[in-house]
Amino acid sequence: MDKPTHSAGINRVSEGLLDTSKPVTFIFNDRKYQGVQGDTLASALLANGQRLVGRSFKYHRPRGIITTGSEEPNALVELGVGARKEPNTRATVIELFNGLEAKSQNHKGPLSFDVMAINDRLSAFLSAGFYYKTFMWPKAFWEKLYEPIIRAAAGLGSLSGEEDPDTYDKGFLHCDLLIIGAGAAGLSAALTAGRAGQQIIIADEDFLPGGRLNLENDTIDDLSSAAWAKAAHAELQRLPNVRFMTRTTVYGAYDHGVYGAIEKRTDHLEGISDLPRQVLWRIYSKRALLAAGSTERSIAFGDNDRPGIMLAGAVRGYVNRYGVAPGKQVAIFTNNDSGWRTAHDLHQAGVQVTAVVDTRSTDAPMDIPGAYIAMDSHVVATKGRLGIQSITLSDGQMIPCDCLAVSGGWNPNVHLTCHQRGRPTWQDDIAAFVPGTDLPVGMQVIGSATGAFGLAERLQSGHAAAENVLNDAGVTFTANHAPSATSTRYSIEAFWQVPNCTGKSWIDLQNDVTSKDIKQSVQEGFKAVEHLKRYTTLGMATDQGKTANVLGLGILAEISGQSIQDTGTTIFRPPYTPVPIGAFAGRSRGKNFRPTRHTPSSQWATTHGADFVEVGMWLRAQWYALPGENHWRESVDREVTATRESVGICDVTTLGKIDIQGADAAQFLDRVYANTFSTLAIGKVRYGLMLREDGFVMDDGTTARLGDKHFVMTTTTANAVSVFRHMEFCRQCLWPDLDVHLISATEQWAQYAVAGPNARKLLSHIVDAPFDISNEGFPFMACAELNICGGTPARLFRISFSGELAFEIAVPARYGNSLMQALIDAGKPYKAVPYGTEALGVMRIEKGHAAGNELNGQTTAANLGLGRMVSTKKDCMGAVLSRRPLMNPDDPIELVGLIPIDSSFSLKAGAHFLAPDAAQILENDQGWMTSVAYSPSLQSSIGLGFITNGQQRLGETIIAADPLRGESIPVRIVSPHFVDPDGARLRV
Amino acid sequence: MELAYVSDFTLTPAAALNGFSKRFGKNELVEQCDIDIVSIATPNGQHDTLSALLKQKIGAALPATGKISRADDTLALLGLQPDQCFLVSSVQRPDAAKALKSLTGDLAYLSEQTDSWAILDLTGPDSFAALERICPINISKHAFEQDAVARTSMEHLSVIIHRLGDEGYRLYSPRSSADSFLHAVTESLYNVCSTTTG
Repeated sequence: MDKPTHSAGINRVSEGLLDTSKPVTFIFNDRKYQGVQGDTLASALLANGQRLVGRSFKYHRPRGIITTGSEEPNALVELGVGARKEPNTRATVIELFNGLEAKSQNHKGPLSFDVMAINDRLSAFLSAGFYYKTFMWPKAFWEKLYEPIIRAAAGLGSLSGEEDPDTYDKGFLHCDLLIIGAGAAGLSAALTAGRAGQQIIIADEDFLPGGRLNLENDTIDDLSSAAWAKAAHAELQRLPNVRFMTRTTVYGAYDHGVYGAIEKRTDHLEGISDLPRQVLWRIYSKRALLAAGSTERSIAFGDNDRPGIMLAGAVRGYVNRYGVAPGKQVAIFTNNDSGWRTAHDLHQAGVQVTAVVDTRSTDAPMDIPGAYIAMDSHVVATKGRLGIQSITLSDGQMIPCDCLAVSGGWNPNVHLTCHQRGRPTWQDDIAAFVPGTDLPVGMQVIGSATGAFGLAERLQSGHAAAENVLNDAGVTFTANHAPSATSTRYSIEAFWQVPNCTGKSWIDLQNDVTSKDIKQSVQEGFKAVEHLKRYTTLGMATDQGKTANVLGLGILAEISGQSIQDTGTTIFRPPYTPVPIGAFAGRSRGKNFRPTRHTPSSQWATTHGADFVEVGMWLRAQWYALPGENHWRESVDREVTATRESVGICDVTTLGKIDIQGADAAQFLDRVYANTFSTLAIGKVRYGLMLREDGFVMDDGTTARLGDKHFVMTTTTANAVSVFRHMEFCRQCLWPDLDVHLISATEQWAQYAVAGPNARKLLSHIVDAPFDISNEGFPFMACAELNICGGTPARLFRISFSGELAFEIAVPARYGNSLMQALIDAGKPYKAVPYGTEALGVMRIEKGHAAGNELNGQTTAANLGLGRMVSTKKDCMGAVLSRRPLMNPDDPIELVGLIPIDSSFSLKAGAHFLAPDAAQILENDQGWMTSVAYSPSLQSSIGLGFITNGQQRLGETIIAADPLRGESIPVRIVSPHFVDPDGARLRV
Repeated sequence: MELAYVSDFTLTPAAALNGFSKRFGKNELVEQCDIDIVSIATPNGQHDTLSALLKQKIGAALPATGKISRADDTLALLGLQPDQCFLVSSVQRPDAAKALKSLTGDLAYLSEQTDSWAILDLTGPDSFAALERICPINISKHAFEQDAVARTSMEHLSVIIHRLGDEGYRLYSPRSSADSFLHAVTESLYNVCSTTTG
């Protein structure tokens, strides 16, 4: 047979399924190569005669390409450069494009002369468990010596250390039927279900649909298998009800028919794209067909890891799909018919087959002209430093070869059947695990993933499963036949390892695990399969042992003298193949990590020097710096002083607002609040305390009664959502008989506190006539709906958090920015200032109001000095459990104020209270400081805190000890109400 | 002390997204600033009475949860949860809830919601593909019909969504986080409308 001349590679024997009219230039280890469109990096390297592509994980052994797909354990490269460098990428799934740059990894010095290969010479000392045994002593050496050395030597590829400049996205898909894999069974199923009009998603990890149909020389419906796959793909793409997703790996099966999938969008494109590189999809399916195919495994024999030793299905796959002969003289070692198939295809392609070595003692299934046929024989050794040069058979014969194709059998890809703890079962006739019966809900397995390796059976299983799905869904369809194909023969006799080899017999090429390691693991007591995995690292890392696990289990079973079914298998977990962390993050990075909430007047605040602080998702102005103010305290002290002396305005929009309506609204509030609200008059506001069911304080706030059946509750900013959720639970689940309805009004209203002695004067310029805001007409704790600024609807509440004469005024959010400006303008005669959350905090501490630091979920109403608010005249949420004896000890902690004896000291929140001269030990702890501030009013640092029997200890001096910061400050216990303890200012 | 005052100021309304409007290829994303929203909660046991009254007064009966009941092109009721729907109207009233109260009296619990939501209309051939990136529920044509409405979340934000014809959706999301929501939608449009495809 004449060998055609083909571009882009010395080993190219045909065009395969490539577009040879489109050459592609790429760089590997700084050297330019040429491939063609349709190549993977692996096929292009093989086409160029590059057998050596990397060094092994532990012993730095020379390694080559083993497979054609995502199961590749060996050919890992660093793809890309700079910040885009991606280590440990499988060359077998990298789609070639112009300008691709890749480097081999895990070697010091050139790939062909890795100085770290000394590890291979020391391998006798580096067997399984080496780390655990060797680095136990001296203990002090671990952190400073051993760990840095091990970390420097360990690993495969290296990270760039830079932020990933690519973007990623996520998305949600829905379908009647998800088909995982577009091989023979998947395509057959998709055609049947797709033609019947079902909403289908079919996903395949490859860029060329067809699975093994593209790697084999089969015939379907009188077409070559690859041509049939191409035609099926084209038909399915034309169907509007079918979404055909190539370059998409379904990596996980989750609850309720939800699947995770990762789609490569721009990885294969030349140049840099600013579009998402990959998209992580969550697929909601009613039914799923798993057509994940099967993976070939190797046989363990001496030095079975040299570059050029590959799996037999991959060798013929490279010939059939990529037109690449991985070697010029190929030998074959097999225990099943797959090896013979490779021999046949290679011979047909004009590649010399030097030997076929079969472990079985049967007659040779076919004649391979020119090949040495050895039945009931083994390969016992190989030679060739950087690539195989010859094999030695068990009869002592040495046969030259530059490629050895090995087949130890095929394993159905059962991974996704195990993601919800399903266990595969062993099937003797194919010597492989097949899916168990405990599958994820809605999943059915088809094709070779079931262990049915014949092509006709695979096509039929997809077709039949799709018809079942259609029948179950009640879809009317025209029955048809499955695509026709001749059944391919597959027979195997299990054979795991060649005995008595001198060289190392490799099981897991990615983790450098040998059969000797497995034996040692068993000898040292790590016999259970999960222990074996952890002790030897068999089946870890990027390939998760796709080619190694079953081989390892077979050898473990042999050594331990039990069946493979009894030996069991490790559980497969998502992801099926590696998913970049960036894809899991998606867009959620930087400022887009979570949403940001702005108040309606944030624009005004920004232009007036506000410094913002994150409060949950809200951005709140914490102070407004004026020119010349160089420290936040200068701004805050000024804002506090100006407010207490005249008037200040604070944006309090972020407080939760819940609109409560219904005939039973008052009764509902009596039940959720500790104190009574059914007695609240219309037009009045009351402070309310809410308990959790366990009796501890949940939240506080004010509730205004706007009508007989209408209340508006405010909550703390932090608890707005949790309080609403709690109340909805009470309404819907506990008391569904009550006529009460809730809706959040937090977003609806922009709300501002106007506080200070001149607050009323300021508001007199805002409210519309004839509304009366005098103390008599609108007294403390009054509320009203009114118009302001010439007809804008508003709500006004006379409540105070600062302790000053104060109002809170609310307008529809669209007017918030404008109202803030109007309030400032109206306040000019009074030198009104905007104040932020810091000044708000200072004034509430000066006033002794509890806030988040005090309402920490561990404090009771009694601790806060609010014990009498828990009404004994009615029942409420938390009332019963708040009366538990342990919640009401004789020596309770109580909220107090604290002031340093020496006013030059700054108090620190978190300090613990001790008696003077007491040792700083837990047994002497009497309480803790919850909140501190510098009070411009008192010209001193002040604090709030809880201390045992606090109310009886006013005037006592204690120590506020802060061991973390090395401070011990003498402080005096005082009333928590530092400013206006009688509340006279509120009522003027 | 003086008891009545005349305000010296007039307030100017501001849209949640400053009237955002932009084309993305053949698609358009436009903020809707002129839509009133009133929440209507049904008193226990009054569903049928209220439904009949609304049908008589505004031309639309109470919808089932997940459905829209339309009076005409300017007014519809969105069924959002049992015993609660939103009246949405493009006929602006200065105080929509009070205006409706004059029709329903005590037969409904009304709450003004106009300022709670930023509203975006997304129309064009890529609108579905764009929302696939952020919308967890199935809004394809065969699953989410013309009179369907749903509450869902997109990028951690609460969203109400309903269809606008074959190739469009109306999206309501809380006003305070409107900038983040707008970013989520525009990012999605950019990601699916740009010409480079896989």
